[in-house]
Amino acid sequence: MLSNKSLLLLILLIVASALSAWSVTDQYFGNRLSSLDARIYGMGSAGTFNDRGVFGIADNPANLTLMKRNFGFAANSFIDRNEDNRAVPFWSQFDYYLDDAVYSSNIRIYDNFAGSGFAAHRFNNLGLGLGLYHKPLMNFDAGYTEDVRNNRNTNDDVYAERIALNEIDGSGSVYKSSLVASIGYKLGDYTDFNLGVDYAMLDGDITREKTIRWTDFAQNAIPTFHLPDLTQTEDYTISGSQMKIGASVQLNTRFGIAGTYTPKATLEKEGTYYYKRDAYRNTLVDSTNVSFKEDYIMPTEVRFGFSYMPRNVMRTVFNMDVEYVMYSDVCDMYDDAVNIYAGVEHHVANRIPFRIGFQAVNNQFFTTEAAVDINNDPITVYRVEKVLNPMITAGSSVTLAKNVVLDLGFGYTWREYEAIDMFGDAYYNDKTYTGASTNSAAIWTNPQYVNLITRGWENPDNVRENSISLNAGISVTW
Amino acid sequence: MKKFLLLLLALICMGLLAAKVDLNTATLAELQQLPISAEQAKDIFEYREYVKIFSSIFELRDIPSIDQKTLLRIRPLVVVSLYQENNDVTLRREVVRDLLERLDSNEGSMEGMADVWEDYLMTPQNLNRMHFDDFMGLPNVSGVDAVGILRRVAQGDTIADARDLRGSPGLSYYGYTNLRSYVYYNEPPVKNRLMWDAKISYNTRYFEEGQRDMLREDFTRDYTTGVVPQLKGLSYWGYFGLDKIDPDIMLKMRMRYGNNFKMGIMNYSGKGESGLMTTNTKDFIEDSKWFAGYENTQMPGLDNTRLKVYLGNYRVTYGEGLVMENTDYYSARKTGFGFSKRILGITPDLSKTQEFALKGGAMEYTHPLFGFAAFVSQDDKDALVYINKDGSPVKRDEFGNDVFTETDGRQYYKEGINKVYNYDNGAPVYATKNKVFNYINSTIRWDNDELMEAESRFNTELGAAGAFAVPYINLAARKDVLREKLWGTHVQINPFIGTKIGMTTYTALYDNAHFVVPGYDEMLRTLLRTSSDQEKLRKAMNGEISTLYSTQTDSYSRDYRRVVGFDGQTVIGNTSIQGEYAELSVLGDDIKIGDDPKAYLASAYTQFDNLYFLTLFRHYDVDFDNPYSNSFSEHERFDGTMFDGNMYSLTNSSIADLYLNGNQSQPEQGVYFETRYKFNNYFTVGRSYIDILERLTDHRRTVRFQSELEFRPLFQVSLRLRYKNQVNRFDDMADRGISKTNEYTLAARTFLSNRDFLELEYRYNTVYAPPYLSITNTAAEGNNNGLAAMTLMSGDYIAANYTHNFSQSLKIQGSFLYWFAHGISHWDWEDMEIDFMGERGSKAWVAITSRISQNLYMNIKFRNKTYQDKEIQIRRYNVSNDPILYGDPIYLQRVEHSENTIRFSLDYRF
Repeated sequence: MLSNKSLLLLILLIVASALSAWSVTDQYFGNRLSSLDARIYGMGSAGTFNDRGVFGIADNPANLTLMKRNFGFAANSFIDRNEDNRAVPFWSQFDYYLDDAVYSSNIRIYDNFAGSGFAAHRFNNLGLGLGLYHKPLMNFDAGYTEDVRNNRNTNDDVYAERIALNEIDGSGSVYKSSLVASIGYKLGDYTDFNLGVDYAMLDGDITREKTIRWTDFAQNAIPTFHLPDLTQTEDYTISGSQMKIGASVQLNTRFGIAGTYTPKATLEKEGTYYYKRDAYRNTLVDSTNVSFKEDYIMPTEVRFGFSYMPRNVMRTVFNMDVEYVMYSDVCDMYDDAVNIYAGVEHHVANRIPFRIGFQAVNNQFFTTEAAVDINNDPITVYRVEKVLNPMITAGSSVTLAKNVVLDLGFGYTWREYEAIDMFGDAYYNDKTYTGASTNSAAIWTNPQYVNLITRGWENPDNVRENSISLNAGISVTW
Repeated sequence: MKKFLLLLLALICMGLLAAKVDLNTATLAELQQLPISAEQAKDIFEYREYVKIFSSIFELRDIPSIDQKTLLRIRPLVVVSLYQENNDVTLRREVVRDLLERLDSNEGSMEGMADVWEDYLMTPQNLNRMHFDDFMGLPNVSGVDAVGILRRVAQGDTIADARDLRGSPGLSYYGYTNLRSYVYYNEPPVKNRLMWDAKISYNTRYFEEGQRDMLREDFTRDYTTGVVPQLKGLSYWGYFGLDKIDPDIMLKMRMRYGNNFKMGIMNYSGKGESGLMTTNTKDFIEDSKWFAGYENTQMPGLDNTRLKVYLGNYRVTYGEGLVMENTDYYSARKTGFGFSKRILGITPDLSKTQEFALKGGAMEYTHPLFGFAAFVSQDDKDALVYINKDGSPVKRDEFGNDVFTETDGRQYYKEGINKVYNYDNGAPVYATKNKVFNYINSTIRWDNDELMEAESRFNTELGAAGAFAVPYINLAARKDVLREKLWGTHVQINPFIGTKIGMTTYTALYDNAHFVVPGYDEMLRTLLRTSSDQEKLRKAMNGEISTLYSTQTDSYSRDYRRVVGFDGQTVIGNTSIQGEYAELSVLGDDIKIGDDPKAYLASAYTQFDNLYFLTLFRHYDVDFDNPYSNSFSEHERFDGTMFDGNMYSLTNSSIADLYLNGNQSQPEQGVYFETRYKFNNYFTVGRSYIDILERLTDHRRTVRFQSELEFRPLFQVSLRLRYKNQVNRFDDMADRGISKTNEYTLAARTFLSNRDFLELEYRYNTVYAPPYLSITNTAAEGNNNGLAAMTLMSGDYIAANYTHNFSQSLKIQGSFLYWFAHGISHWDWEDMEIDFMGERGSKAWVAITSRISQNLYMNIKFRNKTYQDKEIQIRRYNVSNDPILYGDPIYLQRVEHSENTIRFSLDYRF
């Protein structure tokens, strides 16, 4: 047991850290967060049937009365270290694609915070409960920096000059503030049936800015010309409501089954889009500032899970969920996806749990590219990448005081996929800004070796991301 | 009165006893009647329900909320009854649990045999009624062991138990220890009942280096002029987006009633293939394997006869695997002894084998004195087919072949490279059949539509160049293109105990295809993209390719392939002698010996209690092309040919799959000698062998030697020293084909405690060999300056492996290793798979095995492997390509890879 002072410090630490996101690739969904129940997170987020965690009410509203507790509060934090490596194809002298050369590597740490609470009462065999929780549903935090360097000095073992800096800075989350109601009916000591409903208000304020800034070195290298900086900003809100209904059934001492259904929700996305490219040579400033208001679709989700509690020398719980996400609600180009979650909890010694889990979750990345059709008319090429995120998790718990438990869950996930180069090379072709027939040797040494054209889907980036995350939750129940 | 009082006392005692609460059967409500809190009652109930059945009242103290005071208070009020929760199946599973786990860990290398052995572990065979071949199919049981037992039984003796078995004359210690778990004596440990297993496996593996290189090879414009489009989409890799994480998924379910009725289904979709969610029902069924079977070991009529009947997918193995042992997977030095076994006869097949899978019906009827088996199969096979360039107005058939229509309305394939003649009358064959080069076991089984779309894109690029000798894709893999009808039989006579003579034959009918393999020169023109490569790769070992079996040649035209063979075995004293002779019918008579391409193998296995010798001789003709053979050899077919290492020269890099996923032995002749000797409890010479062989295509001679010494001063501690040496072309030191390999391994193993195992291993290798001069030098006379170019390459490897058992239900294994291997490669046996590692890198993996319940197992493994593998030349970015002004503008770089792999499996056994 920890002293009161230590406990307070621990709570402050957890509250101070907060939960997060990481990918710059998915501009539509950002990053959808897994279960915030740290115990379930360590078990691969397989928590549709969850009779222990306060945050289980966010995974399935019927878990509220399934828990058979009168009150509960939980605070959770989620810290994530994301590594994003972008590479271009690498060719051997035999002309074949050999591997990838990383040109940009970004590591960021994000955090976020969530909280929940509930109260329940049992009237003989009938249980009723109400709960609240507030958590990030989708996170758009993103940080990306890419140096554009020229080809000078590399044979002298020194760094080449930086001629431009590309950045993407995203922030904001769509938060889910929910009211949960659940009703349970007890049929026996270990048999009960629970139904719940979750009504959530979704609200998010998101900003995403993409900039290209030429360095002083580049601007000074060709003093008679101006190299134009670029700024592109999206600032918008997402708001609306979402329903979820769920059922949890404890069949006997061994088995529990559960399911949730989250119908498609149409939210409102409203904001402004701002674009500005500086003037250069005889081209004026290109500037746009438009407002937009559009539907934002959250797809239908159906999820089933079970929990198996066998007799084992170490007390053991095995959970497994299968989720069906109808991404086709959002766009015809999306395929529906099936996600799998599984985890086990063993009480190793002195009732200390050891949890491991696995999940395979699919993401859909939607990107567009400007191209021309056979008549040379500009068109937009759409492409969807379905990307698999495998994840391994582990976790444990510490009982801090009677009814006070600190749960820790760790996760490691990675994904590998192709993406369009976010900053096309053609922008750094100074011929555009000087009107010269060749690139300036002052910026691009030996300009004959520089081929500044924008790569499309015929030669995309290969992106490799990995994330290490810690989910810590402190809960009080009685 | 006294009696009355005693009776009253007894009744009171009984009453008190009757009122006591039985901790093992009480309901929660009954426990709550005890003078304890509701929480404590619940804790007792849940301990019994979720941890264990009580065997003593004092086990209540294992529950944290029950203190000594509480125990003393309720002690007079409770009893613990004898309670048996296990049935015969779960008890049996406990007995053989270690063996089951070991079989699971070897399943990948066992090619479906683990299923058969698992069945026999759970529902053993009656030792006193087993046939000779039944013994031969069990791991580490030899013919000498089998004869020792069968002779006892034949003399009317009945082996009553394991101790009785151990006393059988001739039965070795190893034979005994491995046999005893697979047999019963009087009563079967498990009565006939319904049992079922279900397994899900999910594995995000990476392609092996050779496969990756093959898939990444571009169909580019003329590289001789330096015009390089550098587009990823011009390779299979880029076109199909293989950078993604894409898992192998396997679903398997088996049901059986004792050993009598069996059925099962398995679906496996590999990385890059249509998965469960994207495939349609028809393809799912076609790509799934299934079986239903009936076995009876007590057929009416003759005593001790047995019948097996299987429908669906099955495996057939006879003799030494020369005529028939159907598998997609190659396994070097498969002796048929020790743990390198064959299960003889017909067995159900839910292995990952797709190409050489047999699907149809099979039956086997056996008696101690004779046996008979027949099998028929009809299955569509993947094949490497000839195709023409896609061009208007040529019509293409469903496989991508150009089709022309004659005035009489009949269709035929375009003449020229695809010209197929009828050798009876010289007329072209009309378009009812495909022209096939060979079977192919593709790394990725794409659908034909997908392949044709991709090839159309590649052809555009190839056609734009015009510099290639073959400016279009003329050979390509096609899924399920070859309709194969196969039938075969095996007859066997067993005149004496331990002696048998058998004959096996099969005929594969190809009624929609011709196998056509051109002669050597035309073959080079067909397979190699540029004319310069055609000269450069004029290697003797390419004879393995040009001698592949054709159904259309200058001499005959037919539509089948037939293999006939004889096998035999006899046991004399403590020596078992066995062998097989097989011929592929080409020009000769089907049953006349010596007039067709042949293969033969003979071996002698001599066994003592703690020592054995195996001597084996084999010879496989170059033109003995039997895709259903899987016999002993040192190398797989096409090793060293243009398919191995020259994939960039091929008209279609995916042809290299013939080598990369080959299953046949290379044509070779050689003598192999193997032994193992346990001196005493301290010293053992582990499996040691020497193999002296000659590759028959180019007469390259090789000698390979390996020996292992184990010193075990204590049971918990052992030291192992292993040495391996291989010399290729040892007979001609001046030849550039020579290479010498040495490998030294030292391993220390210790059980730190009952739950912890630690192993440290160090390995050092050297390879003395010529570089691949074919890349830099034209293989013309005078350029063959191998002696001047010999290179000594070395590498080493250090590893630490650790296992911790938290309990019987939770085990963690982990390993970390680092290797350096300039120009050579290492191998590492992980928890249940082998991994090959080139160049240098490090690897760490952890595998967690959780036994969730007596029936349910979960396994999660994560591996990170970071390594450098390929040396490439890069021109310095900002210097001119003028070596006089700027010095050498080229420097060498290595490519680094980082791979994360996860494997997850759930296995439910009932």
